[in-house]
Amino acid sequence: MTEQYFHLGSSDRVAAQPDAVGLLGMTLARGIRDTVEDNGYRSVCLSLDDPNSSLLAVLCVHALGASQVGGVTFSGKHDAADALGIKCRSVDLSGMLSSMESALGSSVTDSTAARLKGNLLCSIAEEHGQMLLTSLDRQQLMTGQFILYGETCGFLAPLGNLCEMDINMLCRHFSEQYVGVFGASDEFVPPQKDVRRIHGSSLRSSRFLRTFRVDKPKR
Amino acid sequence: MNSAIPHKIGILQNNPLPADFSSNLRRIVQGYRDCLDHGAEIVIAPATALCGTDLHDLARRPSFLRQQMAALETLSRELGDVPLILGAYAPLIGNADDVWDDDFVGADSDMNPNFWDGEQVPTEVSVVPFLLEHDCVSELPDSEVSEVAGLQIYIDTDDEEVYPHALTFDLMIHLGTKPWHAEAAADDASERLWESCTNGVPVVSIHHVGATEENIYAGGSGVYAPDKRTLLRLPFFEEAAKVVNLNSKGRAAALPEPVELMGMALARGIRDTVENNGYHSVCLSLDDPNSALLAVLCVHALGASKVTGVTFSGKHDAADALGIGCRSVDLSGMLVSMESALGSSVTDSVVARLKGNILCSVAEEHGQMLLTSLDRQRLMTGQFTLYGETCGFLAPLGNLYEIDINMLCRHFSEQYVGVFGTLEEPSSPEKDRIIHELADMNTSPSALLNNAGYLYKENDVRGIQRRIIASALKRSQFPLTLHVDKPEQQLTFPVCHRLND
Repeated sequence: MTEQYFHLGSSDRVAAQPDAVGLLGMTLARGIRDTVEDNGYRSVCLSLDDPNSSLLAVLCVHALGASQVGGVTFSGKHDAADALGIKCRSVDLSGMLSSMESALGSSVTDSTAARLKGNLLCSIAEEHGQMLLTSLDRQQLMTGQFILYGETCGFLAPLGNLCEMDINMLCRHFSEQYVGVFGASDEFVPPQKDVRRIHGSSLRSSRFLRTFRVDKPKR
Repeated sequence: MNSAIPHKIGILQNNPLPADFSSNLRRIVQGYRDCLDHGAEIVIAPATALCGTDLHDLARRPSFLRQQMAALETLSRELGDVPLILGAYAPLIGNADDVWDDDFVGADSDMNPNFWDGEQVPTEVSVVPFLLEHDCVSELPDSEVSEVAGLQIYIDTDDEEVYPHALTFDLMIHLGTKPWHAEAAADDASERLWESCTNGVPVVSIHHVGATEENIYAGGSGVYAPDKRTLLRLPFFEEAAKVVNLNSKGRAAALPEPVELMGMALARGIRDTVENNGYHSVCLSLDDPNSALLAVLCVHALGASKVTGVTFSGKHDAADALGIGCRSVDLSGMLVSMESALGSSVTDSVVARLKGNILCSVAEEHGQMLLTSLDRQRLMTGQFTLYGETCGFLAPLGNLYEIDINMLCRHFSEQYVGVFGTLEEPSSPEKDRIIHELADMNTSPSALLNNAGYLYKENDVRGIQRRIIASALKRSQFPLTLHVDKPEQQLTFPVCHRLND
């Protein structure tokens, strides 16, 4: 380690503090890296079909490098994966859905399909010894727009404490550096409903997902 | 005791819902009137009869404290001439006005995340006794003597043993707040008898009933006389209201057996968790090792018509014996298509997760709560697949060791013939003891090996140590369990803390 000293009378100035969005991105990347490594993993696996998956993939690449990130798509879309240079695996669900339909004796619901995707994501992550991440955000978590054991599969939800506004700001921040990853839909749009004001949530005591705290801690 | 002072004490133990003032208030008024009908001269209700338990940060919110005060005032208007003693939350520092003053630390919006709605949060709140008379609410000092209806009463909101030898009083009241655990009923009875004998006055111990989150509250409130008699004991795990005459010569029935209490506790925990979360029935797998016991507990809690079993192996003997619904599902087609989708052979964990998915789908289809039958040994050593056997909202047996499960199976096997098959002795009691020492007692592995009193093999201890550490991340996503061990033994620290030596 290099020792550094500063003199109170010095006229030198340190560089300006990074802007808030830049700091938020650095925080999340650091959080991902430490959580992955502290738990004995080296690489991560994530779904590429979810609304925030491009941002999550960028953060993971930022944190671990493109070679340590694996994407899985069920819809066949892998533009973001190609632009980021991460591996992408495409899985076809149709055969499994029809056999599940015949086993259950009823039509397969959206939640069954979501859980099947979660199951496959777990299996792929397990096969490669990767930590599975989910891209659920705070609005989805607080309003229950997810299927338990479906989109919630994973050990960490890095964006789980971020509102739509934060996610849009982060997308804009990274869009210059990672061209072609974020589609036109990721352009900044004022959120319809800001869930910032939902306080005292039971989310913090939730045992199903770990998120990073980016809001102010309670006294 | 002076015959002019009250000697008929009404005791009510209710099942309060967290922060549901209107429902709790109705139950208290109903119990209070029942006691009045039987000639009560003072009525005592549990510490959390009005507010419920496990409120966490809600209890510190000024808006909650104001609602609670309004509920206490409403309750006082419903009362007759007979006073009511119960517990309620109050700020620990000064009175409520001081705590919510602008000068109070935390009033700054930068410090206080709740400033946005114009409210500040008291630092700490605690349950304290309140005396309610017609149109009058008074806060009583905790762990001190107060005069109520001519009686000098020592009231304590703690469950610990007390001997206030410098004080003179006619009656001691414990408004218990702690949840039930396997030794709680026997401990409470012996401590209250000791207090009654030592202080030379009758002791009343009140506990509420019900389950919230992972805690079960037992009821079993009692009145103990100085001559080592139990004058009255209300039923365990049931709401009740009764009047006891402190001068009576009667004696209450003995405590139920610990295994019987455990079965009742788990059944109550299942029923309350299911109903408080808006469900009416449950779904469970019939193929797991403990599924017969779980099915019996569910039938005990909800009735056979509210329990559905799912089997992947085709075995439904237990379901037939219990008279519960059973659905058989064939996995083979799904496994073949999954193998072709993944491009590799299907592992055990993939199969377990597929079963979990189907159990979720069946439960969802019937609007049922899914339960899992994992026990403490499997939970602590990671012998489960995440999103496989862990699927479900509640693991009622998640805190039980093999020996407890075996005892419960034997207990229920007489009542439910043909459900349990052949019962054998626990196969690995040693493993359970090691897990108990490492995880519950926070003993380090080297202390466990080096202590002369213990004769564990190093391989066993180190193997379990590794398994506990390796499964910590998986365990963080485990569903709710029902606590049957002492609160101080519930793991609330990073498991690696003492296991890294």
